[in-house]
Amino acid sequence: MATGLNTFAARVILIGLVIHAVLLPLLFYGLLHIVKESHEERFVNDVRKYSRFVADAFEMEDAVSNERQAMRLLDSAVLGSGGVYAELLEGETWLRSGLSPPDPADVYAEDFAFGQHGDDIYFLSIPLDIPDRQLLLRMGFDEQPTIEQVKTARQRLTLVLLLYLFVSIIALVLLSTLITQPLRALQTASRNIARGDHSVKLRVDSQLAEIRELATDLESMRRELVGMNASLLEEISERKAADKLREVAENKLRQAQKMETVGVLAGGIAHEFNNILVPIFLYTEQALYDLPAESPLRVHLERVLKSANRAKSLVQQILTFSRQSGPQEFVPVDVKPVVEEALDLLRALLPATVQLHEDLTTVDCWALADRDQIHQLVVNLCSNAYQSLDETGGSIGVILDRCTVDTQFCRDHPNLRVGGYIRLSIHDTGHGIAHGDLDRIFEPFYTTRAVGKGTGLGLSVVHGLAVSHSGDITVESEPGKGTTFHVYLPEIGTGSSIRNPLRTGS
Amino acid sequence: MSPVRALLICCLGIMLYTQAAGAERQVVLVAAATSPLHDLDSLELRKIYLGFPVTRDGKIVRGLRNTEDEDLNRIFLQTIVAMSEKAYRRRLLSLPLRQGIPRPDKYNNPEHLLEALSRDPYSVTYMWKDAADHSADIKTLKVIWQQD
Repeated sequence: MATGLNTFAARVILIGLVIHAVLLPLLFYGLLHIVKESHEERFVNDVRKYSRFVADAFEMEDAVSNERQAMRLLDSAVLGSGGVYAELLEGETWLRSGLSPPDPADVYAEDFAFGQHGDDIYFLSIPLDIPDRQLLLRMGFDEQPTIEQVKTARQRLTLVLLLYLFVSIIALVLLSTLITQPLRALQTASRNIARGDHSVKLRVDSQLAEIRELATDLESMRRELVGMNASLLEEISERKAADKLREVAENKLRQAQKMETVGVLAGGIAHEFNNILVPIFLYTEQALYDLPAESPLRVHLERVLKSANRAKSLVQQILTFSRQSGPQEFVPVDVKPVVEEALDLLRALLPATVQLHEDLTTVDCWALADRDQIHQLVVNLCSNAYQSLDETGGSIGVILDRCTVDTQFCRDHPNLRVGGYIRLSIHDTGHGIAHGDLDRIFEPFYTTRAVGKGTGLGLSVVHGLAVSHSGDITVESEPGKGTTFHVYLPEIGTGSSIRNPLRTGS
Repeated sequence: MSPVRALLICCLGIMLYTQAAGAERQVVLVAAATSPLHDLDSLELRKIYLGFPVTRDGKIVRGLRNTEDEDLNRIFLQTIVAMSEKAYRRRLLSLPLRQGIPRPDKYNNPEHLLEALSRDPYSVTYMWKDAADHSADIKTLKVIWQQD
């Protein structure tokens, strides 16, 4: 912050004072010298001319021959000039005006300049040009009035210069204020801008063109700054959004790669396992066929066959997840009847403590799909919902509707595209899923249930089915309150307007 | 030389010096020795140095200024023209402009002054009486100032 002598106003006033301190004494003494010289010169000129005039009077009127007339002339000379002394001198005799001091002998030194002998009286003597006479006219003039005039002039000059100094200081203060006030306004506005208040406009009403131009330039800079700041903020925002998208995409990519790896591995194992199951089925069924009906071994073989069937089902699920269960042909399917069929099957299996609510009022939910796989998807999700309920029961809700996916939603779910989708929502009032598990629930063989209670393949199979239908699945869960799964399937329009060709899934 | 005689000589020298130092100084009006001028009164003299024409035998009398020392100049200003130096200077400046009269020539070298006097017999000047007494080429017309 500018303080003390560092301010512009202080500097202007200080410089002004220094200049005046130097120049005013010079001006004062210069002017005083001129005034003094002028007065003195006029005095000397006047007394010389007056003395000469008196001398001429004596020379022309022959007054010296008449003492009374000479005395009158001398008195007149003293009175008429404000003089102090006048006498006529001839050798040792003299005729002096009665108006002169009684004994002026000690001031008889003749002056040739003002104040020459320090007696404050200007004496001069003029020889009178009178034939056969050696007469000398002596006159003295008081220098004091001229000295007083010079003193008065000095006092007035001092007053005038002091007044000038005062006015100059006022003018300097006003000038510095005139300059610094708009500068301070600019400074305040600049500081506000520096603090982030870009709405402050740098505009000043100054009479000085330089300051107006400075304000205009700063205002232009502010506008550019505001523009740059806005574009910078927009760029940062876009970059943050892009980073977030990239992060989501990377996570999804990692997840997809992981699931693909697991799928390939599981598929390979399932194929091998399936090959192993073939002789088990063959030989077990052959043994059952060969054994008598009452053989106690039939029970054991039937258990073997039952376990083999369970193993076969598991293998089928693995193959479904890994999409290696053979070429899939998608055809236009109205999803609603498929869902209703699956719910009818489930309703018969659910205990009385579990309530199944369905909202399938939406008609014509056509999608390119495999009917069996959609059926399996519904059964898997509902089974999962039922298993999340505790022993006291709860409710399961199934809603089928249509929705439109926008750009923003697509950013979060890269498997989807902007457009119309059939949305199947399955909600339960179970124990929910912990937030830490939400990211992993679609991983194969990942389960939060006790060992032996689940294979960890149900949701991963559902995920695989949804993605293979060019759709996706999302989950919302709150521990203790329940979970909702949303399955999105691309809509292809009503039954009469279907134009899409058959599509073969990979 | 006896000490008494030397003392007497010194006393005499001191007396002579004192007399010389205390002698009256005079300023005199002079012209060339061959000049027909005899006398000029104070008014005529003032006219000459203020640029007004003064004639003798039909010829204009010229005044020459002697500026060899400052005292002489002051006496000239006070006694002859009765003016201050600046007033006289202003007067001289107006001479050629208003009246077409040349200014009085100034001489600060006595030899040049005497030469000018000898060239023009109708010219006058002023000088210390001592100086005038030492020159045979000039004559004294009158005393114009003397020291008390």
